[in-house]
Amino acid sequence: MTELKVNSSELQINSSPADALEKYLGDPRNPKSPISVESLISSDLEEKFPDGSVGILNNWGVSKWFVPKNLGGELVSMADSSHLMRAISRRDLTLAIAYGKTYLGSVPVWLAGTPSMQISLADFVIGGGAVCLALTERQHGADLLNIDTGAELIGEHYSISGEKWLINNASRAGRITILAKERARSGPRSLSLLHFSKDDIVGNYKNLSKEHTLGIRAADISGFALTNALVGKDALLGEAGSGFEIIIKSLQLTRVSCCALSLGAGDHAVRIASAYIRSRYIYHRLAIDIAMVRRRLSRAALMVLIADALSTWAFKIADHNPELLVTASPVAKIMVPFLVQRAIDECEYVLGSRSYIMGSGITAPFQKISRDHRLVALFDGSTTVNLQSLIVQFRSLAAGFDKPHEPPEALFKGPNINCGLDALRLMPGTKTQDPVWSIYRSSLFTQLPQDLCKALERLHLFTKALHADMKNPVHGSIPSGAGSFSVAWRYCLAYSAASLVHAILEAPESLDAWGGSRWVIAAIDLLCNFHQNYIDSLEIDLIPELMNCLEDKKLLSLDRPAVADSL
Amino acid sequence: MSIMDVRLAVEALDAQLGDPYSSANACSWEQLCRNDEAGERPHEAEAVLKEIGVAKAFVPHEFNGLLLQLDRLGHLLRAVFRRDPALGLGFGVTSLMAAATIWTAGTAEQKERAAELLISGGQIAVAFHELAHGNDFGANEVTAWPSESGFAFAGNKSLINNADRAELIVVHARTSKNPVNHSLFLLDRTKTAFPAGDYWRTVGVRGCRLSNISLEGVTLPDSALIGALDGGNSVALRAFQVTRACLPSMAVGAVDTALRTTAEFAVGRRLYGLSVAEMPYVRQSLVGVFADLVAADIFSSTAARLLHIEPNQGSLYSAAVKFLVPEVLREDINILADILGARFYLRNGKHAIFQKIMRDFPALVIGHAAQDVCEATLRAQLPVAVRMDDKPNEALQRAIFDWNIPLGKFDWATLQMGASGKSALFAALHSGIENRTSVDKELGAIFDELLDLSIWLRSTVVQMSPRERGLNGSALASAATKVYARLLAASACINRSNVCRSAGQDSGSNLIASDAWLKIALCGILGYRRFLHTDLVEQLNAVCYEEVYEELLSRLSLNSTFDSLASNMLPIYNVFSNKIKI
Ligand SMILES: Cc1cc2nc3c(=O)[nH]c(=O)nc-3n(C[C@H](O)[C@H](O)[C@H](O)COP(=O)(O)OP(=O)(O)OC[C@H]3O[C@@H](n4cnc5c(N)ncnc54)[C@H](O)[C@@H]3O)c2cc1C
Ligand SMILES: Cc1cc2nc3c(=O)[nH]c(=O)nc-3n(C[C@H](O)[C@H](O)[C@H](O)COP(=O)(O)OP(=O)(O)OC[C@H]3O[C@@H](n4cnc5c(N)ncnc54)[C@H](O)[C@@H]3O)c2cc1C
Repeated sequence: MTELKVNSSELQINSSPADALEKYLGDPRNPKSPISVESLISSDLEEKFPDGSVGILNNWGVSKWFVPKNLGGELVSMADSSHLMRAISRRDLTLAIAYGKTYLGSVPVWLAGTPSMQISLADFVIGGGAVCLALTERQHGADLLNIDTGAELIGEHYSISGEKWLINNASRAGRITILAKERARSGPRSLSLLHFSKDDIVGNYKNLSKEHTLGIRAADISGFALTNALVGKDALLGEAGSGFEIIIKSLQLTRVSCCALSLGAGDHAVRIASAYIRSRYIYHRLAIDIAMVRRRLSRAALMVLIADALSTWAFKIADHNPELLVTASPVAKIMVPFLVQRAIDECEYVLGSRSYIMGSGITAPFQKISRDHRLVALFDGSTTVNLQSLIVQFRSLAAGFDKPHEPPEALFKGPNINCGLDALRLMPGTKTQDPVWSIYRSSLFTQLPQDLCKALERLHLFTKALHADMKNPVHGSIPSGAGSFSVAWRYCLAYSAASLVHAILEAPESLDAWGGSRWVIAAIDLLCNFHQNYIDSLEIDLIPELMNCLEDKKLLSLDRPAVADSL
Repeated sequence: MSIMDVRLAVEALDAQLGDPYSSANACSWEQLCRNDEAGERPHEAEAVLKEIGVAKAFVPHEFNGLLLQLDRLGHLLRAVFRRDPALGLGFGVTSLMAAATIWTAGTAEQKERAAELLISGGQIAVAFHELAHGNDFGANEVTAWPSESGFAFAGNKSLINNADRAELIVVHARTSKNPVNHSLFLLDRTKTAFPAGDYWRTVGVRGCRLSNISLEGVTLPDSALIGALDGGNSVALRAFQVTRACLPSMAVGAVDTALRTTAEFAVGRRLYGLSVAEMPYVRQSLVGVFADLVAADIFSSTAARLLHIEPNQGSLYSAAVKFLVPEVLREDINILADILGARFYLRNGKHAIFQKIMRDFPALVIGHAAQDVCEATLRAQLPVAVRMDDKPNEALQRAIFDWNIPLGKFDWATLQMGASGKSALFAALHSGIENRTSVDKELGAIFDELLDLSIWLRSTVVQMSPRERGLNGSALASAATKVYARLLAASACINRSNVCRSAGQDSGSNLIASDAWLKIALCGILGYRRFLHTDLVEQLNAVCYEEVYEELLSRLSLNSTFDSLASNMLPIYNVFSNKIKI
């Protein structure tokens, strides 16, 4: 039943914004809920933008969490904002992707905009306005340095010409953040970022028509063309020519925020498959009693839990130690969508033809989740681009790894610096050891249960071999070869496993919630043996814990917050 | 039929299907995407297939069809799957499944009737599936019982492809209670009219028409029974060995087109001042998919040949193919999507066929025995599966791996439910490795890893209890099954490569004969492509990948297929027009 009425006793002081939003949105299986799975499936079929649902999110005020506190918003922690997005993405990814784009378009302004621009954008976003981020062009894709869109400063105005294509919210957005080339400049310092309101454009602005897509069919994916369009010169973000730098920093943050999209999708997919196997009767038993089905679904749940631990780590890095995002951000952007897509694939096997049929019933949203989610690995920096960004750091990372395994004093201790919105602390790689490896400090080994210790030793060996490989000079050439990429994949696997160890050290109760240390051991072994996981003979059964989690109406995650969901 | 003849046949078929790039052509990718968008049956494309008489390929020679050898079936139908997997499924593959039961156990009259219908371009539906039971068709509830005029029916079938138009329908129904036994019936619509239910909407294969049928009140004469009364499950399990081996072979065609679309994009797309295909990682990913595709062809074709040669192991080979090949190909599609970038997500434009393949492909994975069902089949029989002769019979081996050796017509009566005897393909892993000449260090290392796995597998299987191998078997049994399937694939590739080496036949064979392809293919079999062992990959990088990439590029520019036939897709069109400038 719908839980629209919020019981005041449940609104405890420490209830998070995400809890409150969950309660407000209620059970998505109920067609009468403000945001129902049913209505979003039909908007997908009809390729009709879910205006009504966006209005509901605006009414609640979700977009306040896109705006820093000092500008009147609620954005103080990446984790809080991401959990809000997760509450949306576990209902519907299209909606989350469309709605969240405003945050992606705003971050460059929070990082580099003038105070007056920030104030005006803050009002606009809190008021429910949509912002788009226009980087991509038809001919240049990820190669941002070679874009054609040009901006020329003429007197008090920038004159902009060019086409941006495949832009989320391009037609709906009232404001645009755009990357353009300053004609008078060359090289990486030739790009500038501009931010302006569509209303303020003088001259030729033309929307491109909607692109029809595999997933997120209801979203506004289009683009626009500008021909000698004039905007005030105060549209410039930062200095002229600093656009590339700003966008690289901005992407470090927004890539982490993409985790929330995958986590919600993972929860939803596993929830559907779990509900299904509890009632599916086959081979004289419930499917839940078939070992192979249990293993598949356990693996799916495990993938989502690892993704959750890694995301949590990355959120914290963003909040407290943004200088470490240079690794945390690409690893999270690679692994979280990857792990969740694997989880979705496992669920697809379990659901059989139910994963393929559109229509009604508890399994109906599944085919949509699967289509929608494939986008997450692609946008805001594809998996390949992120892997490449790790490869170029191999040498300094490997040098750092040789130093003693101690967590730096300041890890997570420093003040929360506004969700990483401190431009100075973003970006440059360091030669110090990434604190994710501090799990290998000898003092820790004595604190852990023995079986976990053994697994940690295996992970340590894996990590050491990996770092030895990272020193190999063959990885120096760019663009890199498959060998370098597979080392980068291994880096991501090891990093994910390490972040999981951090998560359970931080919150030992999550061990028990998922049946003790065996699942962490399973996760470590799964990650270390990914390249040949067909010979994985791990007996892993998370089904009892998974079923408990869902029956208790908790989110599939380490900390298991409550969700409003009858499935 | 030699390989050359098969290639000519495929090229003739492609010539009649017309230019896949020409939007005016009914069998072009653009037109087929348009049909898909509209959610309509591709009537014009189907008319072309009908005109050509493609379904003759499903009909045994003695009934005026073209079907002699099972491996050829995959090769030929692949041409249709290259255009559109949904066209392949909608026009014919379910007809083949239905027909297989008839060829296995039908009466002469039933065979003639089925043959006639297929040759005239009609469809036969295969009505097994009931929503409540899925893969577990032994639990199906549609019931038939003796009545005055023959059999009376009750119950419903769901998700039946072509149920709206098929003139014949093979119906699976329970005929006795204790023990639960089923029978197959051939329902002739021209004699027993009944309507099909509403269409199901599916995320892929939108050009297929899947509907429910209600058998409530239907009666059929005794002559409708296919095979023995209560023998339906046995017929199905035998007949489907053929289709489970052939379907993945056809599915190779879908990935051929996905690879072509992506490779064309990568060659033409310029980023950072170079073409995307020049980026080593992209190039190696393309090559990896190409190598997998050839390996998938070889494995499924070998299994199909083995159904002729070693039918007593057929249940293993067909399950191993259906178990492994769709999964590998599906992962390959994901790898290609990573390269294609945004274009894999767009339903318009010249890459639109890619997203269609991505949506269609899971139908081939889910349908006709799930991976876990195949695993269960294999797992239960592991002890037989790894039984082998000490000394392999050389003539037998030649017949399996030399595709120029004709096998004659397939004898459907030889199919068996369970596996017995010894496994020639498993044994051939060892002999194939022994027979390989001038093995260098890298190939040697790969061989060692395969042999280690084989030793591990045999010792693991010996220690395994029947319970461990059962429906609720252990993860270890699962792992053993997966290793077994991969070793079979490796055996097929190594031995086929050896034959191509000694014969040195032609372009397709040259690739397969090469160490470069073999190493890359075996690495793929040994691990997941994206996470390959660095020691192996590192060494393979430079030389092997470049060599195989040359071949990929040449096939792309000559419009040749990527499978082991390397047939020309545009045979009577300007073959040398060099559509892709390199
Ligand atoms: C639905 C949707 C919404 C989108 N929304 C937006 C948006 O709001 N704003 C926006 O600006 N863009 C948006 N995009 C664009 C998206 O970010 C681009 O797809 C992305 O930038 C990659 O570009 P591309 O697809 O053209 O691939 P390309 O850049 O052309 O890359 C092709 C291939 O080359 C290889 N490659 C590229 N770079 C490297 C590298 N550095 N190292 C190694 N290999 C490499 C990869 O294999 C890659 O897949 C959207 C796209 C889609 C599909
Ligand atoms: C596009 C399409 C076309 C189709 N056309 C036809 C048609 O023409 N005729 C027809 O009869 N049917 C047709 N079907 C139905 C198809 O045959 C079924 O999808 C198939 O039988 C699987 O059943 P299911 O989807 O209910 O999966 P289930 O049987 O519910 O299986 C789902 C999962 O349960 C587990 N499982 C099942 N069995 C076992 C086992 N033995 N051991 C371990 N785990 C197991 C596996 O994880 C499996 O993936 C079609 C389906 C689709 C999608």
